[in-house]
Order: sequence, then C-alpha cells, then structure tokens
Amino acid sequence: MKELVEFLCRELVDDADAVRVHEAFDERGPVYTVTVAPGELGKVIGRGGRTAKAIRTVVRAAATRQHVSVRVDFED
Amino acid sequence: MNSDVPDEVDLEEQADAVADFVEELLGQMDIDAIAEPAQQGERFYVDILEGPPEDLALLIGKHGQTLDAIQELARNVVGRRLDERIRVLVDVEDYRKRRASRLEERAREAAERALATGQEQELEPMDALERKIVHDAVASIVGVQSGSRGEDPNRFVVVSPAD
Repeated sequence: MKELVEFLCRELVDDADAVRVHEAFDERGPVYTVTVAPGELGKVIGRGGRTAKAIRTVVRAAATRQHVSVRVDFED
Repeated sequence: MNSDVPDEVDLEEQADAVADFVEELLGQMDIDAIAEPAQQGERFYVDILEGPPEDLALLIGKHGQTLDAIQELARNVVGRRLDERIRVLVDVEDYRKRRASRLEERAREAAERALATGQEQELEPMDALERKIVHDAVASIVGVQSGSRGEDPNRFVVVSPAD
C-alpha cells in the first residue's frame, strides 16, 4: 500500500526523489503521511483538494482488497 | 499547457499514454486486468477489461467514484508527462457508456408516462452528471420538460408534460 501512495505522489510532483511516505499504524489500521519538496504540496493536493481526494479514493479501494482501512495525510 | 483543441492524432497518443498509466496503476494496486485504448465516434477513452468481476466492481466503486478518481489521477499524471490537457475518459467494461444508456432509457420511460397520464414523474435521486444525462434525453423528446428538486445527495429529476 505504501508503494502505491509513493507511486502516485512521485508521478504528481517535479522532484520525485523528495517524496517521502511515512507509514504508521493506529487502532483503525495503517496511516500514510506524505511529505514532498518545499512548494510542491499543492500538486498532490490539487485544486480544492481534488487530487488528494482521488489519491485517497484509489488507495482505499486497493486496501479494501486486503480488508484494511487506510488513511492518507499530506504534510508540509 | 497547450490550450489548442487537440486533433485526432494527439487524442490517440493521449489515449495510449493514459492506457500505459492505468496499467501501471493496476499493477501497483495488484489488480490483474488490462487497459485498452478505444474510440467511439470522436471520443477517445481507455477501457479497463478482463479482470476478476469483483476487482472490476471495486475499480468502479460506489456511484462510479473510484473510476472518477482513477480518471482524475490519469489526466493529471499524463497531462504532466505530455504537457497537454488530457481529454481522454477512463471506463471499466464500458460502465460509463452503459450507465448513460440506462439513464436515457429511464428518461424515455418517464417521458412516456408523463405524456400518457398528464402527471409529472419523479425519478430516483441522482448525482449532477446523471441528472444532466436525463435532462439532455428529455430535452430531445417533444411535449415534455424536466427540472430538478431536493438537495444533494437526494436531488432528483422531475419529468412533466410541457407547459
């Protein structure tokens, strides 16, 4: 699941190597926290949060197959 | 970004690039299906096919929302790769096409009942895109008109005899 989040975020920014996805677990399941190069957060969030919403939807769909619920957060 | 309307060759190239991205995405999601560029009239789209039915249903999602998300990401990523505005749709086993024809059929049935009974006909709640398909279908039928009532997500179309 972490690889999927990384794949999508790397494709959306100019500085793919700066993309970091931190994986943690809380009682509800895995939580992925994405950080990107300074100034590139808007590219993974998108206008009105459209891109972030699409990333979350696709990652959740993939996680459903493994019967887990995931969260994806984006951080400055 | 190139704002010119792309010609057919560009759209074909876009469809190929979208298919490549969608196949990469399916691989990352561990879903065994293929993404195939296709053309219908002047529209180019990429159809996801030949996967296990439960996986294809998952890719569509509730009211097509996962499919919309895949299309949003595909247009975004491929737009960056080609430096063009992407106009290609993504579909799963022609889900969008089938949904549109199902809605057009519902619109025709409601129009016929409205004409036969003189009474307005309420349809089930639909999202904005679905309502638009119904409004367009009703607009092509003489003697009926359509409007919408209620608040999303329960907003629905009403078909009635024309004033």
